[in-house]
Amino acid sequence: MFSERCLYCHGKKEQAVSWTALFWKGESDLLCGACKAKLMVIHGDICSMCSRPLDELDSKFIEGDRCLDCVRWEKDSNWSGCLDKNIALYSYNDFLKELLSRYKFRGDYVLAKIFAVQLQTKIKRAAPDLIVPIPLSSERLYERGFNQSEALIIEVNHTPSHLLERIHTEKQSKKSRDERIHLQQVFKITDTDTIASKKILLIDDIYTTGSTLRHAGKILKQAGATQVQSLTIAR
Amino acid sequence: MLTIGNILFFASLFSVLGVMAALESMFPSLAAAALICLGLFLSKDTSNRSLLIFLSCFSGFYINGVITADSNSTSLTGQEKSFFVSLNNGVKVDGDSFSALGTIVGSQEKLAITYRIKTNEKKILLKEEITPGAVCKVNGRLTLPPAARNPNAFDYKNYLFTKGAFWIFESSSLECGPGNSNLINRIKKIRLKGISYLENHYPAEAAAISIALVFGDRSMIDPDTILSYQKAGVIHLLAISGLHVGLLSGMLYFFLLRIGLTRERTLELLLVLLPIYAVLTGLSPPVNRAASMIMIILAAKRFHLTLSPLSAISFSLLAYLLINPYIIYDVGFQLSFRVSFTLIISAKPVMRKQSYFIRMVLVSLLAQLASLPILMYHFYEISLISILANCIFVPLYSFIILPVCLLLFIVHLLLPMELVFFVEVFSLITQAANGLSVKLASLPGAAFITGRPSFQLLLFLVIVHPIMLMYFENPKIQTVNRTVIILAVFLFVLVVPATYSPYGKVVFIDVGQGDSILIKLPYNQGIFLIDTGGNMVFEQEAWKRKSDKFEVGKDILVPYLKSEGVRSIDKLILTHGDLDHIGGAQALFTEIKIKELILPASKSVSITEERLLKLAESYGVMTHRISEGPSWKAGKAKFKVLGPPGEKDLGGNNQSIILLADIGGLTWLFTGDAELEAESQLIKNFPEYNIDILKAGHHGSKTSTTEQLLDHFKPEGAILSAGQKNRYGHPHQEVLGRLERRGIKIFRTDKNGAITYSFRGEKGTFSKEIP
Repeated sequence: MFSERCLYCHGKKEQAVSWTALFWKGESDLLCGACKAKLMVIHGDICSMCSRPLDELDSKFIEGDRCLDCVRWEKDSNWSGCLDKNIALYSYNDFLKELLSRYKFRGDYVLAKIFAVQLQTKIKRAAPDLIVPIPLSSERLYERGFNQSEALIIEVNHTPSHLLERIHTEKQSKKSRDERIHLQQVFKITDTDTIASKKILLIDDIYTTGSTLRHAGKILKQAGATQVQSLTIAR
Repeated sequence: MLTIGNILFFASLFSVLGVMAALESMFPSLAAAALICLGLFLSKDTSNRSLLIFLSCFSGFYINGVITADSNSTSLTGQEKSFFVSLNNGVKVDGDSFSALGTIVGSQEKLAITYRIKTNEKKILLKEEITPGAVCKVNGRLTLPPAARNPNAFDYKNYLFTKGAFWIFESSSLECGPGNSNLINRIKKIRLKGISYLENHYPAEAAAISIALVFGDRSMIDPDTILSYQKAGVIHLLAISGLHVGLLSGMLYFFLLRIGLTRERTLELLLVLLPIYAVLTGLSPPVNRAASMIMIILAAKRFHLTLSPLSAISFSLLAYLLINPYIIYDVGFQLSFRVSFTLIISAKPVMRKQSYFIRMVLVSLLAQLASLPILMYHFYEISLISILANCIFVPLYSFIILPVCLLLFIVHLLLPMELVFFVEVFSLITQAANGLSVKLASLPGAAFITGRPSFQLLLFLVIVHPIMLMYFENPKIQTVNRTVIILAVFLFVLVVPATYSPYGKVVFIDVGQGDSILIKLPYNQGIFLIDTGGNMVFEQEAWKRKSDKFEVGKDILVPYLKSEGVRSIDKLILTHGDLDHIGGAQALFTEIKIKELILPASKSVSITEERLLKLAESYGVMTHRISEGPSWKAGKAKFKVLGPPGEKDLGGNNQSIILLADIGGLTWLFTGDAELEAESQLIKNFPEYNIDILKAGHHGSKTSTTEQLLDHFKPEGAILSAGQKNRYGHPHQEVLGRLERRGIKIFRTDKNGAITYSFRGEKGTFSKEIP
């Protein structure tokens, strides 16, 4: 059932009229036109590694088809090859920032539906053996009541594989890039046996510096995963 | 779940199918409804409640259609001699002929009344007497309306049936009085006053255009101008359209708000004014559609509801079908609703475009594609330059001619004297526009003849239309690419099936008293036309003259050839120079490309023939004069010229071209108007030979189709091409006797209308238009 109102702003949705809506699939837009327009789909020239849009980036931060951040990650022997690729859906603009914070900090669980269709297609294309949500520490989980990454996987009817567990407690968003990179390992593996020679897709809400995902990727690769990719809502 | 607009869209779709099941044919409509239902059911979006709505629409409108059809029957015996009728619509005084659709007083039944006006005084008197709602006493006799006599021809009987009329009443007297004057008739009177006001105060051309644009009556416009607008694909601009109604309502809405009315009062006032406006503009289907749609939206707005245009047009369609199910046969109705639905549903990708010009091109393109099957079905041709023409004419009409026309009319009513100059300027603009339309229409390939589509092709077009438009909506593909591919698909569909059909046909067209035979070979291997028919057009006093006189070439032959998709004729064979064989040729030249003109070698040349030769020359058509000897092949068909004899000139009918042909597994002998002398010459020159079908000479006159000829060629069937109730008494009883005695099967165009032999390979069947 789709409501007449926008899932985000609760304003009235204009009725979507089109041939596709009539004869192919009913318009399942959950957002109104105005809100939908604010979600910027990542497309065009993007970093081949982290999906960062390259158009808005100064050319001195680009090397080949990668952004300088990824180049630096890969040059660091400690981190090289930990994450094969990150796929991202939308640009992390003010609107998405607000939307995600409402989703994960203020518990508006239903907003996960907004991303379902896009996530589904990307997961299908990546064709992973295991879909792994980035875990929360038990304190955060208690605070929020749900794991935002796990909720996304459940929303698209896949089974999350809980292979990781947090050993560090402090919020990532309160740390600087340097602090994050030079952190000790933040995850540990719960179930080593299933990982060997598997293609793994990590799910998270945001790719900011990429350190969380690389931490996860590193120990998964060490445990024998052949490929570790990640899929995030925002980049 | 479907949105309200989408539910209403399907509700109207199912209602149309329900009406079609009742009035047209049950099975295809039911099958279509079932298929769509299944599709909707399988897509998870449709709730059971919506499906229930759709099915009740189908059955509800089916029942309504059946009830309407049951009550649509005559209560007359045919013997009645006089009636009182009230004239409400279709009143037409053209030259000395009067025609109207009148309702019998005290009954629902209508009569198609015809009356020949005897004097000019009576004509002037009639024009005064016949006010809307006038009641007339008519004396005369009832006749049954004629059925169509040629394939694809306009079926007057059917047309009248859909209007609730079953008889033509040929009246010998017509006495009219004012009759009842209800509100609608009073508004109609204002309309007539307005029309005559414009006629009296404007120059002719400007008046005609203004009457069309202000009052929705384009009968004053010169038929040639109408034709050129049609060919340029901009005829919709001469009708009152949604654009009009929208423009006027919008103007009035803001004007009323500006002078201080509240929003609510303004809306209420508009709701009252719109129906009046619809009556003022003649209650044509496009006006009714537009006015009712806007009324529905305004009414919703009055109660603070928002209604999408898709919901509004669906409601409007449902209401229309409920009131008059037979409206589905109206071309204006079909075009108006189909085009409007398409534009409303496709509005989003069009409106996304920034440039006004691109939006306009897309709108014209979408409108053209939507109207395509309807135009093909009713007019057999489409305008290829319509998109270009619309890019010029739409802005010209919507920004200049229409606003100026409306404003000028309103101001002119107040200050008639001061505006002479402006009226002159307006007149110049309209003349320029009309001139431009003539230029555009005369461009090569302006009108592309498609023929009447088969049921399968129609179905294909109707199904492929939404699929193409879904493709058009896909934002991943460039607009230009999308547009080009859509156009390519449609052009392919238009050209290929019609041109490369495996079926061929030989058609003896019913051109009244005269001959005209179309030979259309399969796989586009050749199109030949033997003779064109032709009728006498008499000169008459000015007041008796009709604006558009009946002429066989223009009114029967050309429409029929177009309906068959004939774009060019390889050989136009005119057997001899008599009017009833070549009279229709003139109209052919202007509409259809003729590659070669063939006439008999002859010393004497008739005046009609001479005029025709000049015309052929001006069109750069090769002309050959032939006599016995030459032969040619086209695909599997063979043709051989057996007459006229080369050595001597027999003159007149006997100098007709005689053609022997092998077509579709049969051997045919076409003898033109050959009589005794030519026939005996033929027997002398040509050995005994068994043919299958003889086109009997000279319409079955007793001087042709001699015993000797029949015994020499031993035909199995004979075709007699003569006019219904012709004054020469063709075909002659004697000839029929000669044929019957030999057991030769007889086909008569005067009795059976057109006779068609359609074949595939070497096998074919004969069919009669009127069995």
